Amino acid sequence: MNATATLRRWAALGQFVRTHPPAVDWTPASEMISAAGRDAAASQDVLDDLLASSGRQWFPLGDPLDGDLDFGVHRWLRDSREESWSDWLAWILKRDADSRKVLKLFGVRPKVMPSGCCEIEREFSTQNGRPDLVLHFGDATLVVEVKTASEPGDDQLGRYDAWLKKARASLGLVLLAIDEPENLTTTAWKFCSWETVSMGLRAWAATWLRAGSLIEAALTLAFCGAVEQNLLGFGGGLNAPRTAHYLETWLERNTNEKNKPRQ
Amino acid sequence: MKKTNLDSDLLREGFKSYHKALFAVMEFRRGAGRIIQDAVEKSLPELAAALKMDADELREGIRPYTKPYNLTEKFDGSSAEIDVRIPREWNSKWQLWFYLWIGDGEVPYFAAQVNLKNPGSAIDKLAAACKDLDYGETYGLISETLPSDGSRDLAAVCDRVLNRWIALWKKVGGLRQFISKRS
Repeated sequence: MNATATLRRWAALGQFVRTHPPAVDWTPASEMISAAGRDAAASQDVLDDLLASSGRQWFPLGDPLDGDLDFGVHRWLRDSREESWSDWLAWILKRDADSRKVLKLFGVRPKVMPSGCCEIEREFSTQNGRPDLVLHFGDATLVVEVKTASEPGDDQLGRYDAWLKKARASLGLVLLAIDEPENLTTTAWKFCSWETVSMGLRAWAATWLRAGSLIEAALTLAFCGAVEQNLLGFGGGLNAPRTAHYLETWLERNTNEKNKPRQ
Repeated sequence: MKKTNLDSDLLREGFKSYHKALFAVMEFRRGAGRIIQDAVEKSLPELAAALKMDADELREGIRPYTKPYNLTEKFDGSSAEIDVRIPREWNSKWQLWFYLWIGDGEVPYFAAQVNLKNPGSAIDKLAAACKDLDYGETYGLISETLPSDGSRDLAAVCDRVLNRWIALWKKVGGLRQFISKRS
């Protein structure tokens, strides 16, 4: 068969595929959906037990993932409203501005751990822009850039890093987001996930509850619930397996923390 | 307390079926994309005339597009789009989108949409000319649902929406007037 004939043959085949698209066999996909449904049903039982356990052990007010609390219908907490998330997070941090706890929350481990309280500023105005959260630990400064829906840009993180480098002592730049971005060329940031922060704040809320600070605890738990539902997508149904895994991890971690011998 | 079972039914079933399921998704994407592109290409002369644009310019600008572009871990599966967009340049002052939207909790639909960086009076004029227009500050769209029971054929729905879209642009006098150098 010469080249022209071959091309004609392929053109005919191509035309056939265009006009008679092969029927798609959805059976394997349906089997996977059924399997996911079975997993979800089994996980829902586990999740119900975990929620009951969380309420019993830590939150007599109820776990924020429990019941009919639907933060998804709260317009103020839509994932695109990044200022709302930053404002509320800043408010919680200010309730307990203990330097060690705040740094631990964001996974920052400086060589010399500052003591005392930190000072937290929202949209602090610099020559290089307005970082979402600027935290002052004495002379040392930490910047937290908060992302919920939008993507961080190299330019933005680069500018904040340049500003931090001028500070007397920099504790670095933390990018708080749902997932770690993959396409940034700048490396001048440390990633911290919303999952990590929400787990940390659950522990803060548990401490406040034990201390009788009910309002701080309730508002912090509400924030955790909003993060977990609206940003992380936790809940029942097909999300039950990952939600149960998250809650199980938190319960184990917090129980271990509680039982850890004091040094 | 019970432990979450990571050795799940889904993992077992996925081991057997994942590649076949993925193939079905890719095949569906390819097939639906082809149908949409065929419908757009077929109606292009009429569409260009209604928009008062150059048909060749539009034809050269046709680009297939899907959201998500790749199936990655980050894709939560809550919605997906199979699109044809015009023109090629992302930073164009205007963009036309023709797409099948599939998502959680809503009936899938096929839509024709215009996006304008500086809409001026364009969206208001489109809305005045079409009571079914769904619109925002910088976009306007018309659509028709595609129930997942297969009762409507995608190609037929594409044709109907495109015919309505062409009629709408004829009514408002075309797109060209709204994308002058000024805008």
